[in-house]
Amino acid sequence: MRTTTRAWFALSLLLLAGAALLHTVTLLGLRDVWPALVHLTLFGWISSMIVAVNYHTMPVFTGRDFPYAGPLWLQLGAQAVGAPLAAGGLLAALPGLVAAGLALELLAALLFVLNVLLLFARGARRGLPPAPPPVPGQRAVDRLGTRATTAAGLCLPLALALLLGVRLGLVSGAWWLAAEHLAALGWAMLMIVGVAGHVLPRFSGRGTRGAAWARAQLGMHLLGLALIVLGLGFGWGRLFAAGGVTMAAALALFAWTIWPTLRAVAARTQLITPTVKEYQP
Amino acid sequence: MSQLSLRCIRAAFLALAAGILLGISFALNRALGVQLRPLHAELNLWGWVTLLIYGMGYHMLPRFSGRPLKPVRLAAAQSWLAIGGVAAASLGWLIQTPLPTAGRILLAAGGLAQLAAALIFASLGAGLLFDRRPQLAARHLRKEQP
Repeated sequence: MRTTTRAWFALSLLLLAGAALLHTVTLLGLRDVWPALVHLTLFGWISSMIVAVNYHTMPVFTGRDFPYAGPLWLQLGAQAVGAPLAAGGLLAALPGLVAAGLALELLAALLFVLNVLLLFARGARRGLPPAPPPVPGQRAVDRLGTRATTAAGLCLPLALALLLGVRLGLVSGAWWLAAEHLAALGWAMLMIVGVAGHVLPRFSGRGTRGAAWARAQLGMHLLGLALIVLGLGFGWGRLFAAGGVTMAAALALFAWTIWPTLRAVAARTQLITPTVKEYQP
Repeated sequence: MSQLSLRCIRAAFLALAAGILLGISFALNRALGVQLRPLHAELNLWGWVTLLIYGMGYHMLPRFSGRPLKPVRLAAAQSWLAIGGVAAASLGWLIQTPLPTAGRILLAAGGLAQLAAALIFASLGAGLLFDRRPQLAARHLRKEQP
């Protein structure tokens, strides 16, 4: 495992411990901790783990190596300082600290996009990417998964820019909740949808219900996300309601689409090897 | 995929299903959304996403690091603590208005169980990431996994 990837995993586990501590304090009755808890959980622990998994699996699936270590370390540093700073600012009710933390997190999110682009544009090839498992239609599911993860990667900087905009007084406070939903349902959930389509058939040796279901799911997910974010941001209750119902249907469809892969208790071992091949830069 | 991973992932999907039902009710009744927002966050952030990461983590981290997950019983206990913690806290949020004392007890128990689960997962994950034992080839690793 590359050192930067190992550091991302370590950071996510540290942030998990911090978020879990805030969570427990909240559940024990200190409700003022709530905004900091949500921020550290979503933008700290969950985001860092998503980045770590991406940085380990993307070189395997693309058959390329990250070309530069500098932007990877810079992103890690910005995230490691930014997430606790923003959460600390929310905890201590210090707007300046929150804005500084959010700016660093936004920088980290933009560097994530840059690192992914550099991987595809300048990453040295290290052999062919692994062949998809012998599951009918898996290539189409993989393409849809890539679309979902691409959209997810764009949702994170957008959500953080919105949060920063609220803190700087550029947009109304209603967009704070909209931004949190953009991060949860856009960044985290779309990434889960995309990665699940890629890895679950490979881990389990069984296919999803197919590309048609996955395509319908992704379309409904994107529509529901747009309606929810705009509905919350502009305070349009009916739009939010329509988005909520659409998103609920999309998530139910997601569970339906991937459920066959979760029924497999014993994996077909010959299908595992490509996805677990050790990444040595 | 091991029973340990599947247990966490299936529990995560149950939390997602509950979150979906709650989301539909919020979309139709905004007042309910304001009242049950903490339950919404509990189910989605700590039920759905965190349990899913635990489940996927138990599958991926040993393979990514090339080292087997050794304290399997501790990992199994962690998964039950996490799942039980989410269930207790969710129930606590749900009943805290009609039954405040029982609600507080459930919230506290759920929070402490989830804190213990998070710390165990973090220590197990760190143990795999920084293990100095030589890496195993994938075929050997598979034999040693639960």
